[in-house]
Amino acid sequence: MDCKSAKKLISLKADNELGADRLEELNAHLDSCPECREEIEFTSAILKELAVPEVLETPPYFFNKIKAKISAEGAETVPGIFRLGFRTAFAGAAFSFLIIGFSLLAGVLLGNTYWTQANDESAFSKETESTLNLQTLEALPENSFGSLYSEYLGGA
Amino acid sequence: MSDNSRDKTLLENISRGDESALEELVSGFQSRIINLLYRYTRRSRQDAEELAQDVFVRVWNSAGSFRGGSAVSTWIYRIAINLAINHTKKKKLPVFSTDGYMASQAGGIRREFAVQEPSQQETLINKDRKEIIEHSMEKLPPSQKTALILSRYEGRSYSEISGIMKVSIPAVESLLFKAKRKLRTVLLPYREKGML
Repeated sequence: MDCKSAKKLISLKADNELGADRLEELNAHLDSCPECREEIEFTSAILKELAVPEVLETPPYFFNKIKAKISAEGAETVPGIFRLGFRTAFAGAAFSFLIIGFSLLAGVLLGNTYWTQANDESAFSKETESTLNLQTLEALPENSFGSLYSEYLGGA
Repeated sequence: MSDNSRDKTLLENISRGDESALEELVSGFQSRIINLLYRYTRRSRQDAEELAQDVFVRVWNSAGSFRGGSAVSTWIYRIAINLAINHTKKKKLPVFSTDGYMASQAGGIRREFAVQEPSQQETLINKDRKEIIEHSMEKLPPSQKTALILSRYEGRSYSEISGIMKVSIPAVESLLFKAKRKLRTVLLPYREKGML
């Protein structure tokens, strides 16, 4: 093993990430390399200092300060549904557009069907005849409102 | 129920606007997050507390976007680290790169020797070893510093750091290797002077 590889293994060893097989390799190299022994010794000394951190106590009223910030930002006034993630919001919007699109398509197709029927005069006449018998107007009594109206229309 | 399952339930409740769920989550993470940020902010207690508050405000606002692809703690650490890095940029703290160049506060680039200038060394001469070492961490690029803090102070494994930083495990390995090499280069003069 050369020193360059050994230094990488020294770094892994310092972080407890070196497997047993490679550790043996490294130890064999260290036995014969004073430069790498110095490397591992100095690295360990540096990291030892970093391993003993000063620990801060949580400040008083910490959660209250968070709540105050949330209030200040107005985040609390946003209803839960509007605080959904981007993906959820996007999926919701896509679904809404799909529904609207489907509704528009259905509206156009249905509109076309009824528009054709409405403009079909023979169909209209059949429909009218089946629902309103115009012959019934012929039997109206004389001078009745119905007969006068029928005359006015010029039918009788 | 595992810690992560409990935290996921808390996040779901937070996404529905449940403040008591947020309070419970905060009480579980506040100490870890404040201390993590304390390392990041050059030991500024005030900055660390302010940033930690911002982390939980972000959790409140973004709880609905958590997809469960990682542990809740990983997600919260990621928020904390992103805020810490942004904070560093906003404050325009000098960021040193590994090749010995430093982006100056004015935004220009000037040559900076890896080894401290004598005057800077003198200012440090009375400080203890711990302070010297922590001061030297400021010379690391943000990604190396992040990896080192998570590894040394938080005791996170490479796999966990990979999840938090969203980089591969070999990338974590490389970041930590470079970070140690850089620290060694910066601290060697102190060792030669018998200060370490």
